[in-house]
Amino acid sequence: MAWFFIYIGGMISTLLGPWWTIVIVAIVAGFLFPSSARSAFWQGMIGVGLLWGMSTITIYLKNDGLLMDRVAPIFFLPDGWILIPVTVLIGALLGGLACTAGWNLRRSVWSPSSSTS
Amino acid sequence: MQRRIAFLWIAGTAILTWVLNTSFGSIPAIGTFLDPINGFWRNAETKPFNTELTLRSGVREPVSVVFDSLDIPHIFATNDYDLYFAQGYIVARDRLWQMDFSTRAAAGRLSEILGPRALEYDKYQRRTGMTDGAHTFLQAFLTDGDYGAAVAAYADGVNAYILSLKPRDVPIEYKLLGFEPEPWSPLKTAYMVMNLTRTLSFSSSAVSMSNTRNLFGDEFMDHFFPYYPKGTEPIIPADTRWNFTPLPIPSAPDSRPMSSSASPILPEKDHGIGSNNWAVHGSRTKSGHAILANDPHLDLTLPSIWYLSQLSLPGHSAKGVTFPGVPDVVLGFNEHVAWGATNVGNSALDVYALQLRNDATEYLHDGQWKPTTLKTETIHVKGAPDVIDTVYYTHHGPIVYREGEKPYERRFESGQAIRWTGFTAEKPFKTFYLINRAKSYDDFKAALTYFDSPPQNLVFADRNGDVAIHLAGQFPLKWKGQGRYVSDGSDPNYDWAGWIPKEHNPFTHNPARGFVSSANQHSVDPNYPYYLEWDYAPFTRGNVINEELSAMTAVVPDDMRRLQMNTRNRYAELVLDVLLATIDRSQLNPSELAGLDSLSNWNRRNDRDLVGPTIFSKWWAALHLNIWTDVYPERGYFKRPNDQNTIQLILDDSNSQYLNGDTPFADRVTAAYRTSFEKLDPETMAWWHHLNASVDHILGLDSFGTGRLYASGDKQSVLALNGSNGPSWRLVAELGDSVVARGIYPGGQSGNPGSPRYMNFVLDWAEGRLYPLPIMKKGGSTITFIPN
Repeated sequence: MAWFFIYIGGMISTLLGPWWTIVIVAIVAGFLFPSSARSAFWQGMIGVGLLWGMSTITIYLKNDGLLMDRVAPIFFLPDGWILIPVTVLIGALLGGLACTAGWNLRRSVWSPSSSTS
Repeated sequence: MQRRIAFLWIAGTAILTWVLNTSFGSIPAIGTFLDPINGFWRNAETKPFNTELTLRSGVREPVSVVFDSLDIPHIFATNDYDLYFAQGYIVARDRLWQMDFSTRAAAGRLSEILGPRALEYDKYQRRTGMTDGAHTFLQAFLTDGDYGAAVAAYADGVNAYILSLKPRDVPIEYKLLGFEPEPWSPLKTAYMVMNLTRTLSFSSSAVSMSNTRNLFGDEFMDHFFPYYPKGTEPIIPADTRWNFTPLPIPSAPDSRPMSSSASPILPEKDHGIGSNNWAVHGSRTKSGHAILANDPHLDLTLPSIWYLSQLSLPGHSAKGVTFPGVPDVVLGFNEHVAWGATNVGNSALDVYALQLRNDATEYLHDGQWKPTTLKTETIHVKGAPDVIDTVYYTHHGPIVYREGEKPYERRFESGQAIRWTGFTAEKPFKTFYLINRAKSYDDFKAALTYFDSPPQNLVFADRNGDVAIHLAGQFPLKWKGQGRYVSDGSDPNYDWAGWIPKEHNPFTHNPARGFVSSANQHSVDPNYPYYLEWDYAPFTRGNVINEELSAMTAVVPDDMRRLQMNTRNRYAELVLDVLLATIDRSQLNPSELAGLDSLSNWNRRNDRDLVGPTIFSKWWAALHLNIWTDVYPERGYFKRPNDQNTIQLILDDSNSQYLNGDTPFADRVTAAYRTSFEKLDPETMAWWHHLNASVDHILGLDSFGTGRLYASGDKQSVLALNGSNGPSWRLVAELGDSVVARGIYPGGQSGNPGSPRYMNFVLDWAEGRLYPLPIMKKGGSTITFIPN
């Protein structure tokens, strides 16, 4: 469920505030939803990755890749679509990291035995 | 233990977030930039932009804005305030970043955005008096009722748009450079006008001219840098009579100062700021109505310097191109008249050599040591402390560089002050406010009384059948040759003695030849009683336009469009036959001979698929270099005779010592052909590869520009396209019972690289197509402004 919380929460928080609020959402998700460390990491990756992936793919298709093809060369990328995996990867890694950090925070507050389900 | 692990995970996350949220050098903050919700992705236009919208805002009465299929806004308002409010709002919606960035650049404030690397540029802007000039403009705006109110209303409109923006909605360039929009103000409009004035009239060849005279003397200068070159057809026909009593001309001083420079020689930069305009009288047109055409040449940029709009109030509508940041239509037409501009090709700037003492706090003038006025400029620098710079002013104008300072622009040396008409200009754009409302030639003439700078050849036609060209601007009253070389700043004879009264400015109205035309060439012939400088554009475009127009009968608008696209190579017409007759064919190999054959058969036009223009232009450039390299020293900052005067020398006297020197002319011609031909790649010999036409983004980002365009033209053709300089706007308007106009500019209405409207006009422009630009009547509304 953490991934879904991040997906919805991250969408709302970044619509209202700066991009890095999604990091806080992912930390909170890791803290609230009991799981394993590995699961927390994956849920964080999927939550942010899915949100950013859906957004970028939708924008790319609706814009015919026009802007991405113009932006990609600035970052020495050969083609506009590559900005999609680049964006998703950065977002997902950060999401996984943040969610795991939240999970660890929970473990430091509650005993390890109560943090698994 | 677990706490420590948790802390490390949180810290790691925080550090990565911080890194992704921070900009390093010119790399934007990656997280901020890539975030699909707020970052650059947000700038991709994913749905039609100009859809129905009602905006509650500061207008007094409802305003409706209708967009046509070209995304041109047609603004219908009931009063001036609402009209300019809406104009400001709508332009900002498409062009905010361009307006904001250009005015910051003009004001010498780029260091705020780009950091220390822009510092020398910023200093140069301030040293050359941009701040003072813009404040002079501002004072004039503020004290002018109607026009001041228009500028203020425009600012309100831009600000209403800025206030409606969320950070994620700002143009992509803000996100790339990491800064934010700042509020608009009349001062920013003043900087915009100042910027344009500088682009068009801030240049001088006085330093290189002085150095060259130092070396070769007056006879050489008068021969190769003539006041009035042979073959010139002035803008105001040579037989024009002047119906006024001129003011006394100031007398020239006996001694003239010399100047020298140690700057290394660089290729003479050809600014190529040229333009064409003409108007054909009804007596020569098929319909019997006047037809006007204009294509001003500027550096072609994306976003374009122009934005098409129609501005309508009850009783009148003006349509044409506007400058983002400035109210009104600048070039275009209304229901009664049409107008266009070309730059007056001469210099509006004099350079004064000064004698300074006491750390430049005093300068010698008229036998006395006079104090300089010091003005402090504070430059904010991103990521570094403020830089305080002091600009020293004399009564001439600012001292650009003081002793020991390294010039950013080589045309100013240390210890020189500049006087420029742009510093004292007040409200040239009030002229456009009035022309937008003009109904007749008299209205047009009345509007010109406000125009001071940059000097323009304004062409005019109306539905009554009048055609005219006026030199608009304020011209200093000078003795012949004043300012041609570096002036002696201590000698009052070099001060500007006053101004030529504007009613004495040259003009021609319905001349006998049935048309008026200008292409930046000489304004007048030597019979005009005042001295109007010497350094005009070559006669090439002007002569071709006059020749073509003279040959036309029953002119229709499409003839004008075709003339705008005319690619005749005047230099080739003049000199190619001589070169072909001179070259020693016995020295050429078979492929060189084949090249020569294609040149013989060439139609002398700079058309994109031909190889003739490529071979000729390279050959001519090599020959020009070959001739003058032998005459001029290897190092030093000098002015070389231009193509036109070199060709004249060849035509007049091919035995001249300058052409022959150590090497006979025929050998030079042959050698120049062989060396230039050798460098040509047969695969890319078609002219368009070498013309290298493109429209570039203001920041020079390759992928935001057009890349090389498949286009025709050349800097000396009527179709004056050359690299990224060329026709920035084309208009053809027939003034019949109604005004039927067509036009185009190389760009698109949107300034957003993520929009399909960003460069959608460019290919049609390169092909020479024009879009119909009807004056739209009120009806329907895309965007409606309603009062709060």
